[in-house]
Amino acid sequence: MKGLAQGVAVVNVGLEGFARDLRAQNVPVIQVDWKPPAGGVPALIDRLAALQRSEVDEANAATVKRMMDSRPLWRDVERAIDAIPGLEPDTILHSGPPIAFEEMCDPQQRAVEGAAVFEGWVSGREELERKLKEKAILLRPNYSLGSVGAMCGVISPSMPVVVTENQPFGNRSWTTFNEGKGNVIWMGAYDRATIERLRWMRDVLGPTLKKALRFAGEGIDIFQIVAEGIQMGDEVHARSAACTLLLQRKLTPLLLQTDADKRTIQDVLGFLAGNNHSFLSLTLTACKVAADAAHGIPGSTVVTAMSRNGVDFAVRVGGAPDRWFVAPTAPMDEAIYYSGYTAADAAGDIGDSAIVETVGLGGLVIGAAPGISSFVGGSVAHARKAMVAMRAICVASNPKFSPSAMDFMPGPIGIDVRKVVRTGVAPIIDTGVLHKASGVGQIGTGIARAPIEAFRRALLAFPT
Amino acid sequence: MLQVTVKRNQYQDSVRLMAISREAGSLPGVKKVLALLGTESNKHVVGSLGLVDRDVEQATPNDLLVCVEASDPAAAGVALERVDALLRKDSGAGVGEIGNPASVEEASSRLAGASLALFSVPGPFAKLDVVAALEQGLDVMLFSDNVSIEDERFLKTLAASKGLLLMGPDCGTAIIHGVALAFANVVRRGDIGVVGASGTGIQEVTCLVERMGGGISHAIGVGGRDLKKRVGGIMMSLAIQKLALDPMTRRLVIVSKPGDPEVVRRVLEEAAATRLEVVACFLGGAEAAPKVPGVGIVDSLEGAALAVMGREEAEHGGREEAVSSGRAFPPSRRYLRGLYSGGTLCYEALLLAEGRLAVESNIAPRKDLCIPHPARGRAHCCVDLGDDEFTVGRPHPMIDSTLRKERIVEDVRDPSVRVILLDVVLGYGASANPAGDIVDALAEGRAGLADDGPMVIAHVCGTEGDPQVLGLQEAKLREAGVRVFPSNAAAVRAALTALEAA
Repeated sequence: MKGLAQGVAVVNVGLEGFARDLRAQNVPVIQVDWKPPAGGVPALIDRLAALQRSEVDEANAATVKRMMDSRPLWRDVERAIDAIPGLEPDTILHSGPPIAFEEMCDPQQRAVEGAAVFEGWVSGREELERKLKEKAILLRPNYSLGSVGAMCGVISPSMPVVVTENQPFGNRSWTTFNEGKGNVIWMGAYDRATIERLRWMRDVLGPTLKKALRFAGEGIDIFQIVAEGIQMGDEVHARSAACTLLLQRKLTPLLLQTDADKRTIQDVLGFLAGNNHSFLSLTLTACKVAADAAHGIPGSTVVTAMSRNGVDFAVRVGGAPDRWFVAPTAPMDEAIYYSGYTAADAAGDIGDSAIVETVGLGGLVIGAAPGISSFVGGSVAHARKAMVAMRAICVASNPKFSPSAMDFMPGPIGIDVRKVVRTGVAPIIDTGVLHKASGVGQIGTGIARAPIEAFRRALLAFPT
Repeated sequence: MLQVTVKRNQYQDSVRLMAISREAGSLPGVKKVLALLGTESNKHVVGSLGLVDRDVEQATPNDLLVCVEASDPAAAGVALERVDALLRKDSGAGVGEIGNPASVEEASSRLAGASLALFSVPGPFAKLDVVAALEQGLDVMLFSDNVSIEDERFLKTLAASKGLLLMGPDCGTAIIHGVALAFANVVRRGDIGVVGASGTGIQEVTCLVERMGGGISHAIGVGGRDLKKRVGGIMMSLAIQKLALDPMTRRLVIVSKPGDPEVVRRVLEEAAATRLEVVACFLGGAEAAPKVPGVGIVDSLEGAALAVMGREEAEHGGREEAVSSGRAFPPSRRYLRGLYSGGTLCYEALLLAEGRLAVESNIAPRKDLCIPHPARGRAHCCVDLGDDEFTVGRPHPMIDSTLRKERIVEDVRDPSVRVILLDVVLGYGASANPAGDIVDALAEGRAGLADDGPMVIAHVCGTEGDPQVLGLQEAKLREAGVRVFPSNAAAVRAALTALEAA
């Protein structure tokens, strides 16, 4: 039995007059901006109360520990068909939850078309639609095979993929190399030059990097670079410039040890250095293996994946294996648009890349990249506020990713479905915006707020 | 018109430039502003607008291109100035400046030494946040009402398992280390600990102790249902144990309505087993209370204060009870009207009247004397104006006296009323000048009356240290001809005496 607390310092929830009275007595007091939990919906409140147990907290802590114990290494480059177990030679993978071609958003359809053209299966849309109908070409979500794809997220069998292995746990993930800006299929836009670039990536970039990685020992430690990049202005989702340069520093001597000719090395380095998002591919696979390693702990209410296809948003929860909870994807109404475009032109939030936020990076450490503070209001203070808000929906913080720009506030990690539903605060996802119809590709950038509805569905379906 | 300006060595983050473009482009007379770095692809964009000149051609990714489309040169100039201003602009708030926390967890991590969470949000929604506060290791004061008894039991069990206090629900008074929480008075510190079920009950006992020269170590309100069987006295027990461990506390007062006999017996036995000197006040149930050796049982708030202070009788101001009205009332003026803001004080009045006067009330202990809302009795009547039915969508009368003022005016003008009996509760949480409100209402009611209306008797529950200052509030009432008594019990006895006088 312990006695009364030594002093009085009050957290005030409700009438502000009580806080004023306490201040008048020189008592330290902090006022909470309170609103009814879970939107005041009784069924959700009951479920939340049932899940407010220490066993859940322990499962959640174990989940986050696995995320933080993960050590993803970039080990190899292979063609998708050789690397990804279960990928059939007639299958194209896409981001987000399962979806029929007709239901896909326009940019994702275009990306599938580009990949089919690149594979030499079709010459255009008509042929593609016919072959899809005949099931000569199949579509599957990345998440069914453990791969991951940014934006449209299309992976076809002969594309070269990054092979990343989670060293302590042994699980792997894969994604394509980032194509950069302009007409690129990850943004749902392609032309002849796009296809040529994909061929060069298949024939030159992939094999050359594969050779280079043979000299990399156990592989390239991705989170080590991320930790450094976080101190240099990257939040590693919308901003990866520093990490891309840090990667270049590691890759250059490796490439020079290969038998590749000077021109090839120049092209490869030029390609990687010419695109600030080059490192993003490594980040995606690293976050995916960390999240997958953390998935499946009974009772855990921590999110282990978020994935969007421009139409639907899906969330996976650690303690609910084999289930995804789906809701309409977020509108891009808070993004910043290129001149001449507005939210009315935008496709819905898209990409498997929200795996980055799942592991406590990207939008969850937005303050690491003061350059994109405009995403959340324009100042470093806004970014800090956004991080504090994210901390309120996470179960832990990760000192490994503590942005100096935020006075080294540790990044929040482990989005708790319970806390999201209770507070109504949605995870912030840093992302690009695609045109919904014209095929021009990217038209803006900013944040999406994950749809709370998906989290509510997860909570209501969660085993108690 | 369309123009482009090149600013050398002005590298900016592209997202920031987009935000600046958007803001400058929203000025009147400006169609579009495009601030871009001089990359090859951006130069193509500028070229596609037909704006390529030598400066643009020579621009590098380190240079800033500002294209402006505007209705006239003046508007374009304003837009360019705005771009410059936005580029220079300090984004405002410093890194450390953040608003109020959105959650209890966040608040608790930000407040150094956080010890207690005070809830005054709607009961049905409070549960989750209360659990969060307990998980953070905070004591909880749950001022909220409409908390179900199941939730109360659940929350108190959880709190007790962590050794934490869960004060309330529906009890708005506590004093911890001299700090008045919610509705509480500024009382001298001393060696008397109080554990009580009701808010105003604790306020009255603590204020009376102060008047009698004593002091309070801590006062803990555990809520009106704590001694019921389904709650089982969880918090009463815990609070007593905590006070027993407190070096400042030597004496203990327990204040409650009667509860489940087995629960009461257990709690009293636990209290008797501590080193504390114990007085238990069971309003309306002293006779039926279990006899536990070492525990003094009393039946009024005043009695509790007297007993714990070791006084035999109400020597303070007792003489005033022999009320001489100074004027004779006609037999037609014969009724009592008590208009209370404090529920427990009203209840104490009803108990003291038992056997002397049949007083109707919305909270009468006797069923046959219960009258329904809005409790306008035709004969003798005491109303608890803070009862739930009066506070739906309206502030409690201790905070806002609008309702009570209306009832005072009515009863002052009622020719059958001889005595109006009032309580005036001071302290933190209570309104700033309750006596002033009463004086205003009396003046309004008395205007035009030939005989000045009924006698008005009041007790001010408060201390000199309260924000409203006891002495000032009492003086205001006396100036208006109100007879002021040092305890509620004394005021009630005076009222009864006046009514019994021929």
